[in-house]
Amino acid sequence: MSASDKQEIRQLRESEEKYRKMIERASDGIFALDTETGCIIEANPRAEAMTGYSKKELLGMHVSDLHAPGEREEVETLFRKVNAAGSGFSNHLCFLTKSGKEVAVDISASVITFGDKKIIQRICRDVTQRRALERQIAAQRDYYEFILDMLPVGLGVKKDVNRAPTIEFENRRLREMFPANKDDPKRRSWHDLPGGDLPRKTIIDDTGVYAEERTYPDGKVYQFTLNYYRNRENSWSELQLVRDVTRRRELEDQLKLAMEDLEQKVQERTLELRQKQAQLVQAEKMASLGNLVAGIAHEINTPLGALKSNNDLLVRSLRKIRTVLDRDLSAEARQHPEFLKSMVAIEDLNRVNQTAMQRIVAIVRSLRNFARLDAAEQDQVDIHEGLDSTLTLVHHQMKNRIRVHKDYGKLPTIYCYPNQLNQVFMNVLVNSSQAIEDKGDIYIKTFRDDDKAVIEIRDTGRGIPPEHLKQIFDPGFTTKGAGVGTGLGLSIVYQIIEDHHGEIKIESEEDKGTTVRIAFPIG
Amino acid sequence: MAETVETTVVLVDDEEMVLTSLRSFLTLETDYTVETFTNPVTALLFVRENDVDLVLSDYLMPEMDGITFLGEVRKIKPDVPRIILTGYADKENAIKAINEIGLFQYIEKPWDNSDLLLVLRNGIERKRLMNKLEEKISQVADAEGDLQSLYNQILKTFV
Repeated sequence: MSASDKQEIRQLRESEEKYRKMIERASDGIFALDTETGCIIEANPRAEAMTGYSKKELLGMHVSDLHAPGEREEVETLFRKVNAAGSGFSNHLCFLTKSGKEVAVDISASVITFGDKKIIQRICRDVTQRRALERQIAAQRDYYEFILDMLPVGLGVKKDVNRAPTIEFENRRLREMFPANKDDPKRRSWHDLPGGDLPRKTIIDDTGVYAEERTYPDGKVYQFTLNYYRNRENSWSELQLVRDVTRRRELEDQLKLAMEDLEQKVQERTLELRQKQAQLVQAEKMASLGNLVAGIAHEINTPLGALKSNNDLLVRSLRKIRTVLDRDLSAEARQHPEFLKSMVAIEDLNRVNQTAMQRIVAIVRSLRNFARLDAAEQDQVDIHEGLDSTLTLVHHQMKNRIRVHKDYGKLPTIYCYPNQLNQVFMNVLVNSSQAIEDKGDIYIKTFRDDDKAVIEIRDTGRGIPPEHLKQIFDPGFTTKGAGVGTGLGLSIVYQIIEDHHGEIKIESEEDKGTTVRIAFPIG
Repeated sequence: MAETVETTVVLVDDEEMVLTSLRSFLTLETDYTVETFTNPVTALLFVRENDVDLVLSDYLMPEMDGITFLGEVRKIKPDVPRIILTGYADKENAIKAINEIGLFQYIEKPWDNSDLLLVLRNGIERKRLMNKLEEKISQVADAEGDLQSLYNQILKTFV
């Protein structure tokens, strides 16, 4: 053995000694394994402490004997891998100690060559505490993820806006709303979510935060909000919230429609009520007028009866006187001018009185017929009688100014409220006569059209402008000016005709005249 | 057969003017004895005490309305035709009265003299015919009574 060989051997011994000492003092359990068999050929004191086996017991044990039977295959695999690749690492295996306790270990193994001799050095670190901590942290993370996943909003988080501009966490709801594209798993913000180019609407959401709203082609409506908070690293974290507001918008739309519908119904009802009210007011007025008229008719009829009878009596008396005088008076006396004049005067006056009386009788009868208090219930009514009574009453508005042309056809009676029917005629005839400024004509034509009784009242008045024509049945609409019309007339006419299941149609041409066509069902 | 029998007509109205008109007319055109009353109560007394051929009454009167009055008349003298004169445009009440208290006719104010006269004459004529009929019936009854006693006498004689 040369000096150099001795030197070399000495050096080798020294380094081996050094290595051994290092290994003896190491805080990790270190094993030396036979590369061929995987049997333990050396172990340090820490290894004894960790496994609970003495060195004497350890030597000759197979490396997999240190682990629970379930891990043995993995231990073998690691052993083969280290043999083949020269090194290997495991961070999830456990020792099963002699006393049956589990000790979590991180294992780092490598092939070491001593001259021509090869061993596997297996360094095992006790990580029981760290593993427990990691499990605890994982459990906590699962717990929070579970909460976040269960939230009804999509949620994406950027931990640090400046350093990592992609979303690091997405909860389940967000993934369901927008399944991640495999080609682009990292999404920077919701602008990168599908539909980022859709038109958006900026709104303020329920929490008072600015939000964007997008409507997707499939009808989904999503609301996006950004929230920032300063994190422990003193930089900004970003929380993106996505709410599905489709159902809410639907409900809001429905609500809006319902509100509009309601609004319209209220308007219709209001109009209806106003019409009914106008009709009630009118009916009330007609009732008091009817009472008044009936009272007046009664009061007038008694003196009128006396007058009429007396006049008749005068005529009869005069006739008798004349018979007597013709027989007994001398021819001379009969030719006396005073006698002649007196006789002529008396006869003329009697005739005039009779005519005057007849007219009063007709007016009173018309008044009574018009009001028809005796017929507050439906009855078979002669339309022509109603028209004539009404004409007598509006006569003062027409005489010397308007000629009334009657063309009455053959009509059966109709079943209706007679005083309401007369109100219709009154309103239409008064309108017609007021439409005629100076002189003109009113044509009243009645005829039967199938199962309808038709009354056509045409005037040669100024007509109704087209823009007013659609409003003429609205209660309160009038062009006559204060004091002339109430604006209720035609609205009441309309209501009455509707109550009788009739129809009214008004055609008008400016400066030509107006035709009112009223039809009532027969029978 | 000359009508020498006196005909009495009773008129009742609270308005003197109506009574005057009717009385004047009937006096001029007929031979009736016309009795007028402004108070139906007084008129009832008259009807009770005298032979009356027809009663005509106004409808609305302050003391007693025409229907009630004529109802009373019916109780006293059922055979006297009763006519109501109504100034109220209330045919229905009048028609109801026709059936209820057996009115002969109703006349509306203002009336027509000729129509009125026709109605009065018909009423009076009817009463007269009814009276005659009764007379005949009682004559027949009398005759039958006579006949019966005669028959009895004959029977007595022969048996």
